[in-house]
Amino acid sequence: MREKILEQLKEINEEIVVDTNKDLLASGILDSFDIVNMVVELEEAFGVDIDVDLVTPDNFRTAESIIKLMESILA
Amino acid sequence: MERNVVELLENATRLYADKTAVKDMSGECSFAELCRNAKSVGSALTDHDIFGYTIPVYMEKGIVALEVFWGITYAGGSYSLMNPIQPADRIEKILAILDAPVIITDREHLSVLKEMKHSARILLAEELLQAEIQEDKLNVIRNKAIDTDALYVNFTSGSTGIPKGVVVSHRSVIEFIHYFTEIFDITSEDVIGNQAPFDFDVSVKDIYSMLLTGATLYIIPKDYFAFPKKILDVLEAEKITTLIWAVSALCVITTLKSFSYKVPTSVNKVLFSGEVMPANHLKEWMRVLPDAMFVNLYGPTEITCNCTYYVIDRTLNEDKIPIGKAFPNERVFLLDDRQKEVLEPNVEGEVCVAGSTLALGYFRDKEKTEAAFVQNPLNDKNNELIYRTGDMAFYREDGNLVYVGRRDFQIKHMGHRIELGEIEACMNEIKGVERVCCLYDHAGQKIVAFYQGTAEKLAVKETLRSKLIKYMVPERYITVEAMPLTPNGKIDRKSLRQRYLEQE
Repeated sequence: MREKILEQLKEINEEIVVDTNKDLLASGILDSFDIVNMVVELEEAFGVDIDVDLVTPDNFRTAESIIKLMESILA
Repeated sequence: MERNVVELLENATRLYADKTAVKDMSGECSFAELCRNAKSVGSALTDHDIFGYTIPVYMEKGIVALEVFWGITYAGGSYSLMNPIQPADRIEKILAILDAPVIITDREHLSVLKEMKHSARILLAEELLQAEIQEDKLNVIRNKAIDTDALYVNFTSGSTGIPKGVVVSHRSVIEFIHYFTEIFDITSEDVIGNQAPFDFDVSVKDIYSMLLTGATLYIIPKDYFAFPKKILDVLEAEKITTLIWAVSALCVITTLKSFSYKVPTSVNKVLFSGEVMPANHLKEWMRVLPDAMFVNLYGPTEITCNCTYYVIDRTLNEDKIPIGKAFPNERVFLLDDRQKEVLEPNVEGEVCVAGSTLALGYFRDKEKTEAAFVQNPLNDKNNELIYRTGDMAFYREDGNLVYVGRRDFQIKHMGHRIELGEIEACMNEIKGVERVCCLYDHAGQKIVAFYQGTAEKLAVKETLRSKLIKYMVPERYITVEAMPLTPNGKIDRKSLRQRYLEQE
């Protein structure tokens, strides 16, 4: 599953997966509108609903945290 | 009517001295404090002889930025906010265009600014705010000021790769904001939730509505717009009544179905602009706020914020929302290809604007100014400048204008106006990139870059990230062996679009 999520993140923006522990928010790789778009793309790709409660800075800070979030939703 | 926006600040201070004018993450500030601090900054700046100059302000939006803006105004200059989110390369280009004697920044951004190429002296806002107020000096400058002096310069994307500075006068802002606040009934009771960055002219409506009416302005940090729960919490906690937002910001809330978490019931006015509002998102906002007024605003930076508005009629259930009719101080009309006015409904024409809110022109760019601000072809008696927007629209049967699209290669992406030519010019400078063409995928809201050459896609993207504002960097890169050409030798955009659609 991890590979599938990584693949999808790469599809959304290659820069996200270059270093999966990089702070995507502080480094400016993701800005506010990117996160919303990413949520929508992940929802479509995996056929799930990501509740607004889960759209938090902690869950979207790094590629690792996004993977962890998606794994828990898909579990 | 006032001649200078500091008169608005002083009027508000007389009427609402101790009332909270602005709140940001660092704290809050009353009208009296705001005025005092602006005067301190202005007094300090009189030693630097900035009269008539446009002064770059390199900092985040917030209370200090406003104090610096009006400090510059007190000292006889105009301001231009450099948003630190922009790459150094672009800021350097703009600093070179402005060629100002000083740049004002704060301690947080000092070290980054010091690394940039420019010849201006750097002044720290924290130090300027400590200066003693010298009313005599400020009065001398005030007596020289007239209403057509420049107030601010906003830089927008330029098709040749060089950003264009739109110069807007005090008079344009003051006239616009009088009508704006009156029509939409913004008063001292209102709390305006600011979304737009201060280098984006949507913020002009927030800032000067506060100053004219005595409303409170709450500056919402930009990071909140990734996390709708935070925005909704702030709207509730600060009892925000008025949202003057970019369409994309409103859509953040609805896209993530955030109203299941909380409904911002204090909001009674929602005004949006920047791009076409998707009907399903608007309907969701209207459903949760059944008593609020919703307004579609339209207009490019060159005509000071907006030139038309449309108050949504809840009984109509419209899928295509018109841009409406002109504000009372502007004339908005359509011209066809033969320079004749389009009067009948359902016939497309270019949106043209005349009136007191036309910008003074593009900063030190006579050629571009003369190309965009032209003699009204319908007026053969007097000199009358109009601004040709490049936007196409038609009249609905009821006389409201409906936006259709652009007549050139300018696009609206995430609420930002972008010349695809600026991106192409930057890409052309990259080693290993030979020929470039950018397209916009409206459905997927993506900028797509086609190029011929050996450069790696990721490397191209990284280079662009260091030269362009993030929202201008294309999301998709497609290499071609040779650019398809039309019989006239131009790049065949249709064929590229077809190729892109096949790949997706």
